[in-house]
Amino acid sequence: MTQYLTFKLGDELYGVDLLDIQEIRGYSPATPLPNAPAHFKGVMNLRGVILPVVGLRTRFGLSNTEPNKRNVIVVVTLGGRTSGLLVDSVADVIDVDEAALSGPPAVAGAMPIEFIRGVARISEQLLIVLDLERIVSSTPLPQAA
Amino acid sequence: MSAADAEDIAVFLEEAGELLVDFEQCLLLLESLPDDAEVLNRAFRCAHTIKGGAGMVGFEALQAFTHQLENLLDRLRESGALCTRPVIDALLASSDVIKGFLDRVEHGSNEPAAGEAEALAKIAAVMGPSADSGEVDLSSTAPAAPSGEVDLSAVTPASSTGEVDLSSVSPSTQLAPAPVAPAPARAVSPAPQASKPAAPAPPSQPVVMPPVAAIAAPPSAPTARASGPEPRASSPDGRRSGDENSATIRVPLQKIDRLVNLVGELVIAQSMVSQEVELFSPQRLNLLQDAVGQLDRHCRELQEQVLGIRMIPVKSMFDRFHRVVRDLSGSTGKQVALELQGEETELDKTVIEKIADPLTHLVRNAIDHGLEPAAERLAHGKPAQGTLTLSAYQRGGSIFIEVSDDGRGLDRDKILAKARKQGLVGEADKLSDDEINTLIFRPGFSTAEHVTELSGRGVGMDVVRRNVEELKGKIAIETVAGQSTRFRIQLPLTLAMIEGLALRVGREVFLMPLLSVAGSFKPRPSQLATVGESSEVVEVREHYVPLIRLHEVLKQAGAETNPCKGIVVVVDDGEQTFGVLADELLGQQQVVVKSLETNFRRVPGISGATVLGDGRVALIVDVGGLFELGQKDLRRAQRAKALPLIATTGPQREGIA
Repeated sequence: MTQYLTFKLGDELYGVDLLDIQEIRGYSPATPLPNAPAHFKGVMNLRGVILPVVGLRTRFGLSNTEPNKRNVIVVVTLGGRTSGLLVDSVADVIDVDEAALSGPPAVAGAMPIEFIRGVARISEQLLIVLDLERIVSSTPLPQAA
Repeated sequence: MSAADAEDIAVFLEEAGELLVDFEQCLLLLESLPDDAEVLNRAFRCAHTIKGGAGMVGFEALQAFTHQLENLLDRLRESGALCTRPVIDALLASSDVIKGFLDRVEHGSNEPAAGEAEALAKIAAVMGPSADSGEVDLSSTAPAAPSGEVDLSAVTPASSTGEVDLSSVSPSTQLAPAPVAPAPARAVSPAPQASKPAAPAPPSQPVVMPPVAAIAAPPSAPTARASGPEPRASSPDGRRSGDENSATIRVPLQKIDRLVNLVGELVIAQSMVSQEVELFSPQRLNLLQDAVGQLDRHCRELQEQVLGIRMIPVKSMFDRFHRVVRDLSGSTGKQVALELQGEETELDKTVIEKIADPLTHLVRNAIDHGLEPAAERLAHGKPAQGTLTLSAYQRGGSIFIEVSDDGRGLDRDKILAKARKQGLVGEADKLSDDEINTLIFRPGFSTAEHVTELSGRGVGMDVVRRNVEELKGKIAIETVAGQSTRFRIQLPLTLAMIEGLALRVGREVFLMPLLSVAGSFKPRPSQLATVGESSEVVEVREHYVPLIRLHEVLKQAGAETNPCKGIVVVVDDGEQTFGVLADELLGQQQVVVKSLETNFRRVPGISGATVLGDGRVALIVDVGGLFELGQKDLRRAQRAKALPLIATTGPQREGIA
């Protein structure tokens, strides 16, 4: 069993490994970074630490909405690096059996397949489990240059 | 072994490193003052303390080595006449051996040590072949050597000639003569590589580990490695961060006491403010203002003092140059006197560590290129001995470190000729003296006719400049032909904070390091012009310099596009002077520098970030990177402009390019 934090982008439900999550905080405007990929919304001040914020909507190629106060930043720490993920709203923490997880589907709309570790059906909804390492990486994907 | 052991080892390494520097100082002093018992005693104490420490953390081989060293020093005590150059050379070599050992432990490397036995033998040999007691046992440094130890101090120079059998004839040892054959060291190297805890042979075994092998694999060394930061050996990145985390600093108690006092004051000021807020009435406003003012003062002072903790005197680094200069003067055959000034000047510890390499380079260059051989000096009416001066001083918010020599000075004609030959400068270009001087910082540039071990490969000065720039510093040259050369490095007091000029561009605030700012002005339309349609220039004191629009290179929307309505900040990155267009000057402020790379990566044109008073993040502009960005944008613009003429069939290709 693995615990996942789930959050929403539009109607879709996404999950990330709970152990990677450092904290969740409300959205406040980030300082944009010039000459950085579009999905990096900018940097924020997290108690004196400069936190880069990844806009998951832009990252996944979904329709973009102007972030507002209801948006949430999920702070994750991967390999010693801390990043913020800008999501629409946080849903829940759920347990998922590894066996219930199937591989990523062949199509994922505009979203690069590499970002998806697998999918699982959770009470009438599809949970899309994300591969965070790829998502927060600042190096562009080979084909998406 | 527990984690405390790793900590002990770290402390030992740091202490031993400092002692070793002191030890070298003493040796160098001894050369000029061979009869100074106090200096000799100090050297002795250094060796002794290292020995004690080594024993405490279980580096038995090192302990044994320093024990032998001590014995040899003891002989010097008996007769100052022994302090000849070869002896000092040999002793310095032994200090290198210890240094090598410490380095290996620190880096957790498994490499077998080499040269321990040789170094000792060399010292013994140069001190005079004299022994009546028979054998000198060098292999007894191995912890397991059970017997046959002959005290070297017994071997006095005055004693009758006897055979010094350096091959160490302890009955249980079958060791080839150390000075003639370093082979035994290698022969046993597989053992330390395997790093078995049992590496030092048990007494019953016929073959006793030579000191070399034992030093390479002290019983506790593998454990120290294991308990150290894990990624050390595997990734260079991990190692760097590991080293940084474990780095320690020695702070004078006085500084800490001052901090404690200050925090006390701060608490009092804070309670005064709370009290005034509680009792607030308009009549008491001035009291509240006073209290806040006091709080303000204490905060600022505390900030200064806390930053001061990271500051250490440059003396620790300067002192190392005695050895460097001595070695170089030996290998070049030039007579050099080293003068140190302002050693008490304090600088950030990280800066000191990072500036040592470029300084060494400058010193090498000065001795190799700058100073003339004695004969040439005498012919020019100078004293035969050249003088190299290292000085440090503080002026404003900067620390200056200078390396100057009274040598031949830079030969501008030669530099220019060479630069023309290498195509760095066009044949017709006229350069000012300063511009010629800075040519030596170009990559691949060297005027040395012969590549020597010291310098001449042309990879030096550009690295020096890059290192200095990484520290947010600047380097300048002053030279008088035939008389002197002076390199002046200007460094910020600390890397943790910078003095910045806050600029508004669109809705964002950017900080420009004040060190690079030469001035600012609102240009008149007559001061603006373009060159080749796309390159903008602005007139600054009768010179036209490139104009870079911050909002363009940093992609800011909603900014002022008319330079006459904005403000032009004149900046100088040490290589280029150019104008930077911003919307508005917001003022000057001290900011704490935070790295973007910790959680993100390098961003072109940005050197870091800081948090403003309102909690928002502001970016710090990288002046050198800004100019490059400007050039890149320009080229892209030119390509885009040229493209429709060629590719009339596919307008969408512009997007691809």
